[in-house]
Amino acid sequence: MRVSVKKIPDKADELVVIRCVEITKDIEDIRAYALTKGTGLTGVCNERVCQFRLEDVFYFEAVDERVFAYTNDKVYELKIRLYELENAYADKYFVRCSKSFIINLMKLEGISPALNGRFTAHMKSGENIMISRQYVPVLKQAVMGGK
Amino acid sequence: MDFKTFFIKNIVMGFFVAVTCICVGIAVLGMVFDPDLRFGYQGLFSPLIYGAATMLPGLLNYSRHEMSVREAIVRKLLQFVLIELIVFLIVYTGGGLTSVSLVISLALSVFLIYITVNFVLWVSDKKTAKAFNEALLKMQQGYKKEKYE
Repeated sequence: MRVSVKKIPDKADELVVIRCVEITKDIEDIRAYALTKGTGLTGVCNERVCQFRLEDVFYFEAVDERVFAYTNDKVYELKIRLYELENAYADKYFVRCSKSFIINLMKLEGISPALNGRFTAHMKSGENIMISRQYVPVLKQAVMGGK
Repeated sequence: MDFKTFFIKNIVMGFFVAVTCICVGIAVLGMVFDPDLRFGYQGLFSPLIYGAATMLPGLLNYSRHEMSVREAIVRKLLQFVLIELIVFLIVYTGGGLTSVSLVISLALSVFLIYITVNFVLWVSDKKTAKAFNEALLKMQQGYKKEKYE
């Protein structure tokens, strides 16, 4: 595949265009990589395409086939899969806490025990998210290391 | 949580807590309802047998898929009912159900032991949450420092 890079003066105009005959798995991967690169994200909010900062995101949620990013006061719909976000932002304190949620550890107030070996994540926004038993070791590893 | 972790954390830990509570329960109920009864060394096995038998319904709480809160509550209730049934079955088979007051006291004891076991497991989770929250705070402070330096 040929790659062309063109320098432009304005950062806001940065854009990756993929020209392809058909959308293959490789093309999807490149698209996902480009979408998650950097700390700026693009999503749809109130039917408008908006840019927002990754560090403002409290959590990502997958509902059916759609993925949403929740900031303090806005909800953005993203054109990306939850597992792609999980892989892309694992080194930026974003951790999967259930089948449908990825939380920002920097926006986490704390956790408390819930029913049946599960925990509840209390976000700094005041929202509570259930941590699945399956993901408790993942969270502990991310925050406490090997302890 | 895989089955092995679930088994060690919930069943084995619950077993030891339950055996301790059953010993206390037998002692209290025995002193009230049959203070003159004497038993041999084999009597020491009864708390272990009760403990093992009543831990079996705990397997109901294991599920490969993530349970909803409602499902978890239903399973907990079912577990409690099964524990009561098992205890009454064992005591009835041994001819121990001699009076209504004993039946009520036994049911109440099982309930108290069930609550105690779950409370101990909750305390263990609370301790985990406390350690997690302390580590989280340190991590967040480290991140802020890193960000603004």
